[in-house]
Amino acid sequence: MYNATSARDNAGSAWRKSTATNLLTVAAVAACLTYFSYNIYSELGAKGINIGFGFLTQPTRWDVSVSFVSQNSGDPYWYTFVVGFINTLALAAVVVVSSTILGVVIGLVRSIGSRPLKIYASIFTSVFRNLPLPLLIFFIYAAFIRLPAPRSAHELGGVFFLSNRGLTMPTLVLPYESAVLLVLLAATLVLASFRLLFPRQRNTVRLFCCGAIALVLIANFLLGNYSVPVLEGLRFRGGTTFPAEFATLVVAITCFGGAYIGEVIRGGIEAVPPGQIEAARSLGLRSQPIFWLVVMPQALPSIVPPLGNQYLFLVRATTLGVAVGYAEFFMITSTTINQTGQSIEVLFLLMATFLVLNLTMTGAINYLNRAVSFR
Amino acid sequence: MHSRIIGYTVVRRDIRQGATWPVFLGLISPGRLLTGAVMLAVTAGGLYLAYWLVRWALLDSVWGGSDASVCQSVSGACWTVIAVRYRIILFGLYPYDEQWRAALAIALLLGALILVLSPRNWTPMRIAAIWCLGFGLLMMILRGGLFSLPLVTSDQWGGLTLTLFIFAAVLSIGMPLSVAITLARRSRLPALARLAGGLVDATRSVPFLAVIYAAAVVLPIALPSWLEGDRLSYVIAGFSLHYAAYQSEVLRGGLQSIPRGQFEAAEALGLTPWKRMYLVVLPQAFRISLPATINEIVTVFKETSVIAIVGLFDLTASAHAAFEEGSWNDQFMEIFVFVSAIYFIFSASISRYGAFLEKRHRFY
Repeated sequence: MYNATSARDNAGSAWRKSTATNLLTVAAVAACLTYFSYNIYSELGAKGINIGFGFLTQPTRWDVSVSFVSQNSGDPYWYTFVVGFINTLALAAVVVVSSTILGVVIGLVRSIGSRPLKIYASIFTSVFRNLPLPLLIFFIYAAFIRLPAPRSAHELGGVFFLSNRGLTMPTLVLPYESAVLLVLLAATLVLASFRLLFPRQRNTVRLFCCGAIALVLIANFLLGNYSVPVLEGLRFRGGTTFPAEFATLVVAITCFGGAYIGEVIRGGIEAVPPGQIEAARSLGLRSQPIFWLVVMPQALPSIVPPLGNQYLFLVRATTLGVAVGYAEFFMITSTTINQTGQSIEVLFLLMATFLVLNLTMTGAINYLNRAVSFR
Repeated sequence: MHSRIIGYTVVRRDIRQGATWPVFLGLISPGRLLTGAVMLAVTAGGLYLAYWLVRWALLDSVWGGSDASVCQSVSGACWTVIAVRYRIILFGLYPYDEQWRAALAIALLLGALILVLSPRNWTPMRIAAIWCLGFGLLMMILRGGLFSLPLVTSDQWGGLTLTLFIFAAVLSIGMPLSVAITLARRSRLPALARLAGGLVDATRSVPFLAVIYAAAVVLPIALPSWLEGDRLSYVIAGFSLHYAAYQSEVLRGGLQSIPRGQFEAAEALGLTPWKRMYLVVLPQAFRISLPATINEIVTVFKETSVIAIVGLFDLTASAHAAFEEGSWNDQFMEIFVFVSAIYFIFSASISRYGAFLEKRHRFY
């Protein structure tokens, strides 16, 4: 019986390995895809839609809603897509930074905090891990637009205003020279960090750049011009206003992401064997050095990979901006499909954009992962 | 806590509990920097918040009445809105006279879920039987059109009924699909393995909203006319693919951690490749990947709320509708608390159930 099975098995595996079967699989999939493409082609043809990317140069004839970059109805589609992409990146950048800060605080509190703080942090985590993100977004937005109008906005010190238009705050206006200087210094810092410039003196250059950036910023903070928001009629003049939609998304995604990142941090810290801390104490180290020199270096390798996954999730979650009308990339694509019917091309653009974004971020996370792991 | 303030006690306790966490990062940990007074303030702040919540939700709240006028003079919650609008939240746009069917459908779905989740029913035959019977009955009750029940098409389904329906449908389509994808990825046919791998990677790197939106846009024009369904079925198809992609990664992890000897032993017993997979390998893979699977299932439950954005009237969308109507405009917080409680109870109990399963030693 054993022989019989084995013989049948071998025959089977030989059959499975054969080129013919491979080709058959490919052919079957290709046939299905061709059939679907034919269906799509004939269906769109019947609706009078020409498949192709020609529409990208046409004017949109619609305005985007809430956006950081201005766009009007005369601008072509490709420009509108770029505007949407910039809005997505802006939201993603803010959300990644803010939920990391919140997550680190919560993770530290939950692993090493005091009793009452631990209780607060675990309530926060369990609430935001068990609620769906769209629900949070809808209701935080509902709360936001019920805030008073700018005329009777909640204010803090006469410079921060919270109204149903969003959060208005003063901004530092950088003179042209310092802006150029800052960009140059930052570029040098990045290039030196990756050993593309000054391969030998990397650390010296980094130190110099950081110091110079700090000096320029401090000088500007002390001497520079501020644009302070002033209520003028029904709206604010000067300062920067983060629209209510943007602020809603930042708050909702930060709470959600912070709860998850907090769990990642806690898991990483708790994974460090207690013997390591005992050993460090027996060497006479105080608690601060123990944390920074013993615990953190060992926690990071198990924190970074899941943290990277959370970042990828946060970037994908920015598509929920469409729920409140923030003009991010997904909202632009869905509006375009509604307006032009060019569904296949636009969906292709959407998928390709997020694939590229995902690959770029995965690369960056892998670089970070190599940097923190022990060699 | 107060004993830590006294220097001597601190030293003694630190020595005694050498292995516990030392006092660092004074900002978040009690100790030399954060003294008892600050700890007291933090605790008092939390207690005040709790008191304020209790006052809002219970002491200063209103429960009776039948219209929004009772909410005018209340400083706390006005729970009247739930009593008046709960049908919208639970059943959505389902015809008023037929809503007992939607309620029955919720009960039926919960019953089927409980039957499927109890480990003694965990044979493929039983699970398939429960799902097929459950879904058949469910469609009969919810959709009607048989036995003098009026027809209610899926565009009228909504609220908690729709959320639970999508949850159950996605799990029951996505789970077998994920097994198929996982096996395809391990297939000895490179073409099949690459295709399955590419599908999983592509689906996982695109936002969930984009996946279901693409399904809702592309499927109606790509499918031949004899396969066409309604919007709900396209969204469920896209959702199932998304879930299957994530679940298959989880299963792949489980499959990879099964020792080589298990395969060899199964082969030595003379089992055919399919039986090896079905009797020996997959049960162990499911068991190993159970915690991650429970996480995925909780995620699926929460992600059902994203379909509100593609125009289906699920629990989130109907909660939104419940306060968007003029007179209840200011009661959004009460509705939010009510709906959050529903979501919280479901996802927390799924997590609890997962913890219960992990504690059992033998469950297959």
